[in-house]
Amino acid sequence: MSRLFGQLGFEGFALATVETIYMTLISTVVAYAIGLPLGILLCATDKGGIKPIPWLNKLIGFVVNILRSIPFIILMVALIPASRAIVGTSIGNEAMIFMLVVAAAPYVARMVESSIKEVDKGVIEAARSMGANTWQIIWKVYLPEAKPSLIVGAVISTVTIIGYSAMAGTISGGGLGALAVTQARPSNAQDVIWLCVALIVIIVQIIQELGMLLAKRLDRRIYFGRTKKVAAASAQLPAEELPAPISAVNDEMAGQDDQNL
Amino acid sequence: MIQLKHLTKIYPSKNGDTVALNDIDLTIPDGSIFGIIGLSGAGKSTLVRCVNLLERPTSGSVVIDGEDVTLAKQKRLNLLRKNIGMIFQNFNLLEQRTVAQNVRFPLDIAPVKRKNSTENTVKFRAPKQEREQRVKELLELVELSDKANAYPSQLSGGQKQRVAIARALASGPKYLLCDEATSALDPTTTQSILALLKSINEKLGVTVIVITHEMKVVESICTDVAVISNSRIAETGSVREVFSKPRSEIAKELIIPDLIRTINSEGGKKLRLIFAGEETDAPVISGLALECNVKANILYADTKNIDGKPFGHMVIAVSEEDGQLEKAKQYLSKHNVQFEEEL
Repeated sequence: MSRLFGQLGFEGFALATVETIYMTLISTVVAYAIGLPLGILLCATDKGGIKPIPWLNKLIGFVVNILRSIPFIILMVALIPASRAIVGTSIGNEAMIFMLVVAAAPYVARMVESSIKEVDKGVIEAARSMGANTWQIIWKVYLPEAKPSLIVGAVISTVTIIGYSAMAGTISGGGLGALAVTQARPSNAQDVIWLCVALIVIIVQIIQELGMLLAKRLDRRIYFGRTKKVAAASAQLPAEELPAPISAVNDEMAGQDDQNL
Repeated sequence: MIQLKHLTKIYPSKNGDTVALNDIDLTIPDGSIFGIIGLSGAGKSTLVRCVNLLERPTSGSVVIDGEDVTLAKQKRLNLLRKNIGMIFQNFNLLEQRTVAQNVRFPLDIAPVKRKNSTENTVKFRAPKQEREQRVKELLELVELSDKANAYPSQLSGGQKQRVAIARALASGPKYLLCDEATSALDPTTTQSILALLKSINEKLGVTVIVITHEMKVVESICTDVAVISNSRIAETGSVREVFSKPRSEIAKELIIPDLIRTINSEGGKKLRLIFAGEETDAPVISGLALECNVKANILYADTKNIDGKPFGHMVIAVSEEDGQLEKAKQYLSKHNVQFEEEL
């Protein structure tokens, strides 16, 4: 066991873990507060969206692309003056959260955009045909219909932000990343480095599993081949009323084509 | 009444413009079940989407009950759309909502009444209890009360379309647009959905506009039909008229199977005999053979139920030798059998 490992003790690792979780959670929430509306806006203002505004769509898309194309490690350094101006400091957890948000919000916007784009165009058309306005489509169609996909996106974003937070730890602030890079590496405390890695892996696994479970739980669709839920659903329904398996449906449709005219 | 006036829709593209609708004039009378039939790509879906302005026509106007809806502002248009229900080939149900919640959707998005509003032509959002009562009635109408809490993915195609119909009727529309509503369903389910549409037309007085590529659909429920081909209206009239005397090439194609039309009747001529409900007791075919010594070959025969009355037609081939064709025509005219030459 290295000297550093002994010095840190349980409390040292616990503090770093809590810092990582704290930074990740706050950054994710703030990144979503900014990224979710941006993602919706990207979708709605797109050509063929519910409220096409080409110039706005291009502008947001441009800014998002620029921010996403700068490697985080460089973006961080570049953001130091901005952090001083806005947060008042360029070190510490709060400064790191600022940097994480700037890096993650555009990423979240793209995630949200792709989730909402998965919503069936036909369903949106149906809502329009019923006289739904733009807000109603956003609140009652976009978000609820994309919910499972949005949750999956949130899980992926959170895991990405954990990765960023470890990197952010190297220039300022705390957390497991900072512990491994700024303290353990110089003193070559391999055991500390590996414990940091293990703790990050555990955090990622927990978020991943919980998130996916939530997404599945909240999804009201049945996929063929998704055994558990199909079995549960079919237990409640008489067999003949269940939708036919996809292959049978295709056969039926092929047969029907022949009958047409 | 829905009137389409000089409706044109052009999709511009780099490789030349695509004309989806070309100067369409059409009047859809109230209370009718109006079929719009055409082959794929004829422009029929674009046409129906122009009625509720899901597609903006390039030029021309859509006049509904005297109001040109192409001039309506978005807010007004959203209100007008509540008077025009629509169902789709792919049902387009909200997958994350239950059946009851789907049907409630149009009621949930109705405008909230402001305190000092004096508007009385608008259906405002009702209290939740009233909305749920209405949902119950609608589900009874489409015979799906037992599926209120199921999710769309647990339903069969026919059941999904019933939910879609209940949803389209929730806001109490005067018109119902059906875009290929039965094209994804099997023949039996198709018939039950068509029967439901017909009863909605009769019971609720809703004018139903049916877009389809299947003649069977038009036959079984429509009162009027417009045949659309190459982005234009080829022919329009009551279903019986169009069936008995199709004038356009496309209407003939839709009514008489291609195989029969192209079959070579070896030196003979093809005649299409129409039995449109008039009393025809004469045994036509044996009469032709016995009385006129005409040898007729039956190529095709079919009896349909159009608009509640039987409608039969038969295609026979008659040789032109020895004046047989002339004799046959005389015989048919004498016995009041409608017929036409040259399919």
